[in-house]
Amino acid sequence: MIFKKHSKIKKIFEKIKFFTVKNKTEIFLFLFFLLIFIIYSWDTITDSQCPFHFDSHETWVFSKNLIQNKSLIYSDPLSKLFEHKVFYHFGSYISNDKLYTVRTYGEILLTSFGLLINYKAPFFLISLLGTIGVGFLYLFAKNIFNKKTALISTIIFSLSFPMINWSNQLINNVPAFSLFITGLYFISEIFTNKNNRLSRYILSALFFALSVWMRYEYLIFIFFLIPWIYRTRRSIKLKYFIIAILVFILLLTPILFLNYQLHKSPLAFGVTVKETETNIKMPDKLFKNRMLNITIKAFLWLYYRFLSIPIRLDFVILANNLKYLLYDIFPGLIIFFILGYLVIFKEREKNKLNFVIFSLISSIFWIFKIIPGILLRPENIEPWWCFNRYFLLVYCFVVLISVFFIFYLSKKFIKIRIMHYLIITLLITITILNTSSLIIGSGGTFSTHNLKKQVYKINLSIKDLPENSIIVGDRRFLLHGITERKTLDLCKIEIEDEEENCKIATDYIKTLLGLDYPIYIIEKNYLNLTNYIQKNEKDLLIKKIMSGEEFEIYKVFNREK
Amino acid sequence: MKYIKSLIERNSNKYKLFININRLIFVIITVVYLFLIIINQFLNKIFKEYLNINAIFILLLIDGILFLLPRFERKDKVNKKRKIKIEEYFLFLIMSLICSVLVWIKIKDFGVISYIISTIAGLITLVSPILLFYD
Repeated sequence: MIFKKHSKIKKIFEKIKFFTVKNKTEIFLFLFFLLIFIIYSWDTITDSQCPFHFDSHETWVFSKNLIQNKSLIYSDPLSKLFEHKVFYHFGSYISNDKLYTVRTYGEILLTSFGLLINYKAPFFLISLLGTIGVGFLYLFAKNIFNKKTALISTIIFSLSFPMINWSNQLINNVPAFSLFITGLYFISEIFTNKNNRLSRYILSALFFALSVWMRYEYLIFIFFLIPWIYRTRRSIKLKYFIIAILVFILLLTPILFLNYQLHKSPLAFGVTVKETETNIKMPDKLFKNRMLNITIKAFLWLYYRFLSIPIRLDFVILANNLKYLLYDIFPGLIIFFILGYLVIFKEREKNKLNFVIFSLISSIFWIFKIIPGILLRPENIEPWWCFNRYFLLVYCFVVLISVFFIFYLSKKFIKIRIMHYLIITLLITITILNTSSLIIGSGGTFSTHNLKKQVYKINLSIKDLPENSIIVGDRRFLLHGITERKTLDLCKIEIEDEEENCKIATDYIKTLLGLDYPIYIIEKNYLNLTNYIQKNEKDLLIKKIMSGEEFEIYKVFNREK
Repeated sequence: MKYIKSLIERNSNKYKLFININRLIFVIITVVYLFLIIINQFLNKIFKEYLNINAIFILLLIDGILFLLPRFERKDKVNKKRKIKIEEYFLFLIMSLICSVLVWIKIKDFGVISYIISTIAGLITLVSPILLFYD
């Protein structure tokens, strides 16, 4: 009996061993993606999450507004009371005292969906999409290259600084990239003749459309697929292809409807309307038709945004900025990336060549569009560091092509395999080390994490304050992360003289107190508003109610009350 | 072009010797370059004052292009069914330990989390080559 049981256990162990050995890569990847999800949602897991970034705060406000008022236009009745737009302190634009978002609709809808679940859900959704994107990157790389290249490139890319940093923020770059790479995986199945069913056409159209919902520039990358489509036209079924295009257009039409509803032109997006009204000079009235005017302005914006910089290209600036935004992110890989391109063009293997043509066009366009402009210097790289989130697709190409080259080397040096192993280990080590130093250093992830942790605490504390409370502060100091109560931004008063600024702020506070709004000031020796009130305002009383490492919160009262 | 071709054909032995030497140089410079990048993470002052890593980058790029150009490509015989030897496992372990220690040195200020991250980094560098080379 005991012997029988023993043999059964032995058999089970043997089965487990067989399964593990057979699926070792898949098991490793499962555990790795689990780890990646934890890293990507580190801020959320450790209760240090809030929409701290300027853009994410805007997304948050509009998403909340969409749930509460079922509208994409935000307006605050209190705003009309004051000369300065102190309640509208995020990257949107104001028209007729109403606020229009410059964020994409997809980003707002995703955040709204998350907010319906709970506070942390939108952040988890971003991290989850980031992890899914990395998973599909593996599958895509497996289709174009092979399993080994896919494995190493997935490890290196997922552990890179931009992915870790931006998956922890409520920013649309990671979801857009992930959705695009998912679409790219499905379309690569068609291009490589691995699966030519209708589902692949529909799925690729769906994910490409979703990526455009997240970030509009991905539409350009989709157009860059045309050479690839042309070169593999024999493996494409025309009927399915037309259906996919129709699905793609159908999925994008709501964006045009929303544009028309908000901006009175289907081709006018929030960002184009904002920038044509503020940054780009043009005649007030081009045509009598308003819709035509807005559409022309949108095209002019496209010209200014996408063509004017490459036309005035400065190679010194380009080379200098490439160092900061490409070489510094993957210091060990760039050399292999360049040589990888040469190898693929030399070998002319169909799938790789098509992919490389697509990646080359996309990378050159995007690098020329984003990188020039200002000559970055070491001392001013920090504020520009956020630019690396725009390059996720380019980084992905860098990793894929360079890892391909490393495996190409292994074919050449089979006898000195140890060198090949050494190169891979060194590259993974360099990636992890570089990510660590960027997280601590100029990348600022670690310091942002600490600040977000404090704001998370503030958000928890102010939940106990009355519902109609208003927090007065400055968006440069923690105010952007506050989501649980209405915020008033002193930075919007835009008067350089500090005393004058405090005087106007005090008048605003008095007005709001007169309307029975409980007022709180968030401060720690950076605004001097509390000092000003204590010294100059006999009608007002202030009392500290809570404090943290980098903040203090005061309640403001009317003395007579 | 014809002249170059005939020159190569006339000196094919010398050319092959050059290719073989260049192959070796390329691998050595690659490994040295990667090691220097790691050292740069810790002692970047040395690189600022005494050594320009960009020079090695350019050298490697030129050497890499020369490595890719040759018309006579030497292919090593493929031995597909090759298992990892004990000493290779040992090397993987040593390298992963070095990786762990380097990562830990870099992030030791993080506290407990630094041990977790460095252990994970070591595990990844240990497991990934085994997955790659274990046929």
